[in-house]
Amino acid sequence: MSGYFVDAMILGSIYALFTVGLSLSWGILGVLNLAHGSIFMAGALSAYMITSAGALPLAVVLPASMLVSGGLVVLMELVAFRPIRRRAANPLAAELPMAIASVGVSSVLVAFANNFTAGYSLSLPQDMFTVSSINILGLTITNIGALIVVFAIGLTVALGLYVARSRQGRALKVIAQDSYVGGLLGISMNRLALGTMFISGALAGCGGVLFSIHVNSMHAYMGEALLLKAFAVIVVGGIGSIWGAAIGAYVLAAAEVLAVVSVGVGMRDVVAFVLIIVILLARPQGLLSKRKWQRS
Amino acid sequence: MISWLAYYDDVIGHMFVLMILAFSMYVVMRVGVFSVASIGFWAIAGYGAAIADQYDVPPLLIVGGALLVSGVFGLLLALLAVRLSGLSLTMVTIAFVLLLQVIVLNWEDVTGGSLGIFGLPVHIGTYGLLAVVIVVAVLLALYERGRTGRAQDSLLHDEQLAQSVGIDIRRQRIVALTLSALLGGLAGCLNVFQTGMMVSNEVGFHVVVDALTMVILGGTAAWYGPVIGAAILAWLPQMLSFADEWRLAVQGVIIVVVLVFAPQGAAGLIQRLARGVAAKRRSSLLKRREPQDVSA
Repeated sequence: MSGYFVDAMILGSIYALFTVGLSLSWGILGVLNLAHGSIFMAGALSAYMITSAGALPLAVVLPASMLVSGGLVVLMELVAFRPIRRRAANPLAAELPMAIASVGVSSVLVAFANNFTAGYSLSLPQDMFTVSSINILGLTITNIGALIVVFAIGLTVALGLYVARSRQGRALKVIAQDSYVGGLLGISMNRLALGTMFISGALAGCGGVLFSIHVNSMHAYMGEALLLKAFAVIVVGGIGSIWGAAIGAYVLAAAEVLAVVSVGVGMRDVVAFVLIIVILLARPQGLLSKRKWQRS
Repeated sequence: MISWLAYYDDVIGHMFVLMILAFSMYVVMRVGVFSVASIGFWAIAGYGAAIADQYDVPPLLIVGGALLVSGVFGLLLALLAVRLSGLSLTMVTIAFVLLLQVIVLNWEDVTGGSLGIFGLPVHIGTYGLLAVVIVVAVLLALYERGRTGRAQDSLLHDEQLAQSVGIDIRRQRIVALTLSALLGGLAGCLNVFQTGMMVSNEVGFHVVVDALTMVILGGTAAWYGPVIGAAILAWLPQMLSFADEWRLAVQGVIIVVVLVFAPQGAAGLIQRLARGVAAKRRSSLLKRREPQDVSA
C-alpha cells in the first residue's frame, strides 16, 4: 500500500514540475506553450550532452540544464511570441497564432533530438547520480524519487509565495488581467514575460532531468505524453493557478495509480482524458478556477 | 510529361490526399478556432478503413461508413467544444488526438500497435483523387460564397461585430467543426486507399505539424490557400536536397516564420496582390479619363 503512495507522490511531483510553468504562462501571458513537452525533453537532452562532454555531478548538471531549457523558452518568446503579440490587434487575437507557433518550435526541437539520439532511447550516465534506496518515515523510496518530491514541493511553494507576495508577483496579476492597464502603471509586459517564460522552461527542464534519471531513459518524444496529463491538471486546478496546478497534479497522480491498481495498466492514460471531458462538461471554467480577475 | 507524371505518381496522389486534410483544417481555422481534431478523425477513419478493408468490405461502403462515423463523432466533439473558448477548445482537441495515439499504440490486436496495418489493396488512383479534390474544392468555394460561408468569414475578422449583426457564433462553430471532421475522415480514408497501409505514425505529432504547415503556409483567406499549402508540403521532400530527418525542423521553421512575417499566408498575399492590381488599374483608368474631363 505504501508503495502505491510513494508512486503517486513521485508521479504527482513530476506532473507538478511540468504543469506549473505551463499553467503560469497560459494564465498570465495567454501563451499555450505546446512546445512545453519538448522543453521538458530538452532539459534531459542537455543534461546528456553536458555529461557526455565530461563527468559532472548532478548538482552542476541540473542547474545548467535548467538554464538551457529556460533559455530556450526565452528564445521562443523573443523570436516568436513577442513579434506575434506586437502585431496582433488585441491580446486575445495573439493567443491562437502563439499556440500554433509553439508547435513549430516544438517540431524543430523534436527533429533535433531525433537526429541526435538517432531515434533510440538514451540514459544519463550512472556516475552523475547513483540511484539507491532509502527509508523515510517507514516508506521505502529511491533517493531520486525523494529528490523529485522535494524539488517539486520546494519549487512550487517558492514560486507560489513569490507570485503571491512579491512586487513582481503582483505585477504579474495586473498583466494577467489587462496588459494595457499594466503598461499605464509602468509595468513592462515584455520584461515580465521573459521572466515568466524563463521560470516556466526551467521548471520543465528540472522535471525532465530528474524524470530521465528516475526512469533511466530519455527519448525525443518523452514530453508529448505529459502534455495530456498537464491538460488534465490544468483543467482540475484552473488556468494560471500555481496552487491549483500543484493540487491538480497530485490528484491526477492519485487517480491514475488508483485506476491502475483497481482496473489495470491500460486505464492509466484514459483517466486524464476522462477527467478533462467530465470536468469541462460540468464546469467549463475548471474545477478550482475562479473568475479571471481572481486568477494567479 | 507523361513519364514525369508516372514517375511522381505517388507524390501527386499524396498531394491530393493532403489537400483534403488541409481543407479539413482550413474550414475550422476560418471561424477563428485552432483545432487539431482533423488529425483525430483522419486517424479514426484511417484505422476504420484499414480494418474494414481486411474483411473485404466494398470501398464505397467504407467511405460512407467513415463519413458517418466521423460526422457523428465530430458533432459530439463540436457540441462539447463550443462550450469552451479560445485556447481551452484547442486543448480539448489536442487531448483528443493524444488519447487516440495512446489507444492506437496499446490496442495492438486491432490496430497492429506501432507497426500498423500493411498490405491492403490500393483502391484509388491519382485521377480518382484529383476528381475528389475538385469536387470538394468546388463545394467549398460555393460554400464560401453562400450565406454560411460569408457569416463565417465575418467571424474571422471580428467576432463582436459578427455577433452584433445577428450571427450565431456557437452555431457557426458547430457547423465548421462537424464539416472539418467529415473532411478529416474523408482524407484519412483516402490516405489508406491510396497507400494501402495505416501506421501508428499517422496519429502522431508529425501529422499535426504537416497539417499546420499546410494551413499556415497557404493561409485561410480563401479555398485555394490549403491547395497551395498542400502542394508545397507534398513537394517539400523533393525540393529539399538534404536528408528527410530534418524535414520536421524545416516545417517548424516555416510555421514560425510565416506566422511572424506573413500571418495571412499565401492566399492572403495573393488576395492583397490582386487587390493591388485592381486598384492600379482603376487609378490608371481614372488618369486616362482626366484629360477628357479637362477638355470637356
